[in-house]
Amino acid sequence: MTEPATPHVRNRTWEAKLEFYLTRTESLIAITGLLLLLLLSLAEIIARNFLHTAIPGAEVLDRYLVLWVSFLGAALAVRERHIKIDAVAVWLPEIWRRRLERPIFLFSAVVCGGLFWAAVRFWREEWTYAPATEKWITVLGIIIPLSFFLLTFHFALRFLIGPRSAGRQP
Amino acid sequence: MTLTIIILLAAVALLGVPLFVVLGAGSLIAAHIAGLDSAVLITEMMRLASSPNLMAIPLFTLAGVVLSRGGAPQRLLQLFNAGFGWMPGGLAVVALIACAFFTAFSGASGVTILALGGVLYPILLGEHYTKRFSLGLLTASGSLGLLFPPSLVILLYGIVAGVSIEQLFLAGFVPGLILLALLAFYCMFVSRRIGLTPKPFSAAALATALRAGIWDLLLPVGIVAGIFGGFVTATEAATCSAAYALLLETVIHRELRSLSQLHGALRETTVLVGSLLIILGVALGLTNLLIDAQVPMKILALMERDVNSQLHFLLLLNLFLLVVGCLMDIFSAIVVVVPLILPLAQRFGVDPVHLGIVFLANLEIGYLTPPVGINLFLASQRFREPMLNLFRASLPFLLIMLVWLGLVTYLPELSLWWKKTGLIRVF
Repeated sequence: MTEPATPHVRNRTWEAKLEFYLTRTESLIAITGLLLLLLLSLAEIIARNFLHTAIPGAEVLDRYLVLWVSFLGAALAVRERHIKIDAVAVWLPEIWRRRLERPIFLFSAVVCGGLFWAAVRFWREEWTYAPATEKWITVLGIIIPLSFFLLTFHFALRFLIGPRSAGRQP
Repeated sequence: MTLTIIILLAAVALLGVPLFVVLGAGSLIAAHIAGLDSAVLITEMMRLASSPNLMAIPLFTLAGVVLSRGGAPQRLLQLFNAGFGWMPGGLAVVALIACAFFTAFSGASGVTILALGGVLYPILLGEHYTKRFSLGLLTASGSLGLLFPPSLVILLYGIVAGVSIEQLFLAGFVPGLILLALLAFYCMFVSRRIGLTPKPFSAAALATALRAGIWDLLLPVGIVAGIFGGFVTATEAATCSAAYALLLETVIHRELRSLSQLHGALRETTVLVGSLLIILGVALGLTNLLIDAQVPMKILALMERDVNSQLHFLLLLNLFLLVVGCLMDIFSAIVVVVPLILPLAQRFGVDPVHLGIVFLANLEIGYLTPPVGINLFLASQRFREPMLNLFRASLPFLLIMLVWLGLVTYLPELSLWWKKTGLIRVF
């Protein structure tokens, strides 16, 4: 997968600038999460096999790090490429594919908004009923509502920005 | 009403709406119709956080991306060419092995055709293989290693179906080798028919290629030995692979020297993993609603009227999955279709591990079939050839793969041989 070409930030609209800085931040957090996941799982292997002990809380942290990496990666994929079936779209003329982009982004933003609202209510419940010793796990779980918010926001931004230039990936 | 909604969702999916959005829309509507709070969808999504094997997906993906960006495909190609290039049909067989090897690591994302196809195509033509044969070979080879460890699709099937990933890796090994052998025989046959003479073996060339590629070769060997020997779990193997690949490309080969190169590889990994796991997360909610609505049971009741044997069921399954493979990419198909067919397969006495191999074998063939065979798209992009030409060129390979599919489906021993040996005790 090639990274999208990025014209100079100063020449962009405010929506494109906002998208650019947002994706940079998401990318930074996701990459840090991935490196942490690797380091933590390596440390666990060493602790388990050579020191015959376990790192407290590491297993839970590993699993939530996977969620952080994946869901932030999903937000990044809005700008690059999400998995699609698009069996019909690939046969359409380029002009029609470009015309379809805005409605697709709008539809996606609405659906992600619905999922965001569901995730907020789920997370609030979790926070209310989590025992004090497990509140930190609930804090890690905030990635679900956060990522659906980001997905909604990215799709809405893409709706405003409009179709990409012809040479770029969909 | 329900049918109208399904048709509408299928239509938006075909028009190019991201699959997770389509599944999300379906889940929200299904929850609304069932009178459930949509927060239940998130409850199901959080099941992702309790899957111990999930961690293997980002880590194996990281290993694949780092190796791909670090030039491992080219080094392996050189090594296999020096090792097997002297055989009749040597270069074609080398192409098969190198592609299978690399697909197992790159997760069948199509990167094999992009990374290796462009290198191999001019070499094959230079060795006087016909254009049609070369195109067919490279298009078909893009998904060859799907059944070998550490294939991402096997990991995903294991997570979705709740089947041991180690057992699936074992089960896929023999069918994967049989497919390689069948295609290699075909390549030898074609090379003899064209009248190509094998190149002489050169120990010096092999030694040079081995020096460059030995470290890359050690990785899959280590994974297979580690998992099959019972020394590491799939997740531990993933961790070691990612760490090893990073060490290899940043310290030993020094192909990823700058921070920006490393950043690019890490970022690509997060995007690949993100676009895959969000589908899995959203689909968990939808499939749970479908199971609550007893959809698999209703399909089963319908099937039981006409289907009365395991053989009959497997035949229908093959036909169904070939159609699925024509319409959906492999990751989406696993997430959406597996939860629905798993109870049916169990009812007809099909082992879930065998089902996994049959499922993936069908979808491997789907990579070569229009309208959405991803290998056809990528090869069309890479070799600048119309898709129809590529489909025609791939037909002999496709026919061989269909014969292989029959063997894998109707001879479960090919996938389950290890159950009769001591290997089962390891897992």
